[in-house]
Amino acid sequence: MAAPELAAPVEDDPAPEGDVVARVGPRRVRGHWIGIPALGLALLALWQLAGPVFGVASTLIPPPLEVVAAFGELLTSPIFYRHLWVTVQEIVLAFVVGSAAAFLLGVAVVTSRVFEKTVMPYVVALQIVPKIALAPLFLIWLGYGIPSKAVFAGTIVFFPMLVNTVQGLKSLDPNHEEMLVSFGASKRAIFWHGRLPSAAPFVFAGLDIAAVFAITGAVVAEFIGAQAGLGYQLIQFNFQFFTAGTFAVIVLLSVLGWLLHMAVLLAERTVTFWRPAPRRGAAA
Amino acid sequence: MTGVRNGDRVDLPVPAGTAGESFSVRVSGVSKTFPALRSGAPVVALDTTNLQFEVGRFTSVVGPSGCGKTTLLRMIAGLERPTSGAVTVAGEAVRGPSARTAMVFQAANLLPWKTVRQNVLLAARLRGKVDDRLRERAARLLTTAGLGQFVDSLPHELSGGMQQRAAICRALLVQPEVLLMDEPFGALDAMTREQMGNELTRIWAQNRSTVVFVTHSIPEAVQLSDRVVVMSPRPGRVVGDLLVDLPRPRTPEVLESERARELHHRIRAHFTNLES
Ligand SMILES: Nc1ncnc2c1ncn2[C@@H]1O[C@H](COP(=O)(O)OP(=O)(O)OP(=O)(O)O)[C@@H](O)[C@H]1O
Ligand SMILES: [Mg+2]
Repeated sequence: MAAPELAAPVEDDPAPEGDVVARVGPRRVRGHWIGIPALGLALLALWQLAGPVFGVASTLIPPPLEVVAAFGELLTSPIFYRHLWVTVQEIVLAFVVGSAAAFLLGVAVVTSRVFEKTVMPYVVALQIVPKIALAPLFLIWLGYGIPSKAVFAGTIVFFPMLVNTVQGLKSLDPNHEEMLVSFGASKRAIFWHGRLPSAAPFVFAGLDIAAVFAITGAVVAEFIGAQAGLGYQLIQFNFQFFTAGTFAVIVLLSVLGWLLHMAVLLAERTVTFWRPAPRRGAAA
Repeated sequence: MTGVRNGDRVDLPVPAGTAGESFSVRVSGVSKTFPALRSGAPVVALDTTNLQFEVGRFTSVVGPSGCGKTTLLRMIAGLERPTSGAVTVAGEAVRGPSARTAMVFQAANLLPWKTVRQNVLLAARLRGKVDDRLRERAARLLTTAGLGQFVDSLPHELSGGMQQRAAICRALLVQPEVLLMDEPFGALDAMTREQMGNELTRIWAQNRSTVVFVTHSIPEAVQLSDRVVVMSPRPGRVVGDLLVDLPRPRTPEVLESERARELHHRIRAHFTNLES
């Protein structure tokens, strides 16, 4: 229907006014700010209509308004905050302890030959073990509470962080290293003035991965065996065919992930202020 | 004493005096062969070489690419061991990086995470203590080098020439007896090059350290030096050694004089002789 009207684009006027080249920048920015919410709203509308129009059962795909309602329900239920708090603790523990341990081991590996030769082979061997297979063991060893989830998520966080740290600490430009050596820098001075700062971008890339892995790890661990937490609640909702609730929990987990990502980004910008901005205007 | 003016050296370790020594750097029977890599024969980077660098002189080393100029500097700086022979600085055998020498590399090699000021102070900090006098001297040096407004900038905010000037300030701040410079202006255009050469000689004139200056450019060698050493293509040997007896400052008139032109031709002749 209404095909002729659709032919005329309404939202983004393409009329080139004079110098097109000069307008490329601002136009792209405008498309960015209008386009993203517009597309999002369109998809939400389509999703809301999918049920009534195409007859999709709301237990399979609940319409967004139902998800919003479920979200509201969650936020007003005290038990939900207990679940949230459990999972947040697991995530933060896994993220902080897992990445800190990986960072320290990375430093040890790079600064000590002996360490690299003796410990690293075991680390590499352990890395091959599918971590998910360890989850039931952690359950036996540490019980159904927070520790088993934090430890499991922590092991998942650990390896990418370790790899990034080692790679980063080895990324010091050999010319910069030689300059430091020529001015009489000790191994320690080379580490503080050279290796550590040169590792920062790698470490933050590792932390960004670690943030996602910590959340995934905590939720998966709760799937495997738990009595509380958002992953546990998600499974509960699923069993009860309360799909809107499941969706709400997924949205919430995504928000947690986004918050952690933003925290990492903020820390990165503060610490690696010395890096040239990649492209100004586009991201900020 | 060595003739090096090191009056305000107190903030850095003072090296033992070397009374009676007129050569600051001695390169005696030094050769360097790099072991063979996958591709066959070992590389003789520098053939047996004898060279002395007099105290307080500005000596340039010119030679074609790959003749071992950088290798020679690195051995004087203690960053590389000779395969045979010995290098002494102020009468002492070189065994590693020493506080007597400072190197300006082919690239500026400023640390990207430190400001210009921090970069310049770092070298001094690695060799001794940084006090207010040193800070003040760093600020003066940077101003002289035209970087007064950029002391708190990061290296990536500077042009290549500005970065190289900061690197030179870094080496000058530690007041080395011997300043080793490896094509410091290699990446710059001819005009900037000449200008920076003038600045360098002006700063050097205040504090005549021994300078070993590697370059590809014959005009640059003539502009800056008291003496020019010419090297053959690989394996590097000394094939020419001449004094540049032009008056200082090297004004455009001096550099366009008959004598300057003659020196230029004589240096060039060493290269052309080698090709035939
Ligand atoms: N670390 C090394 N390992 C193996 N070979 C090397 C090494 N450093 C230098 N060489 C070789 O030694 C020779 C001399 O190198 P060097 O860098 O001293 O030349 P150069 O005169 O400084 O040249 P350029 O003017 O191009 O900088 C070259 O053939 C180079 O391949
Ligand atoms: Mg070289």
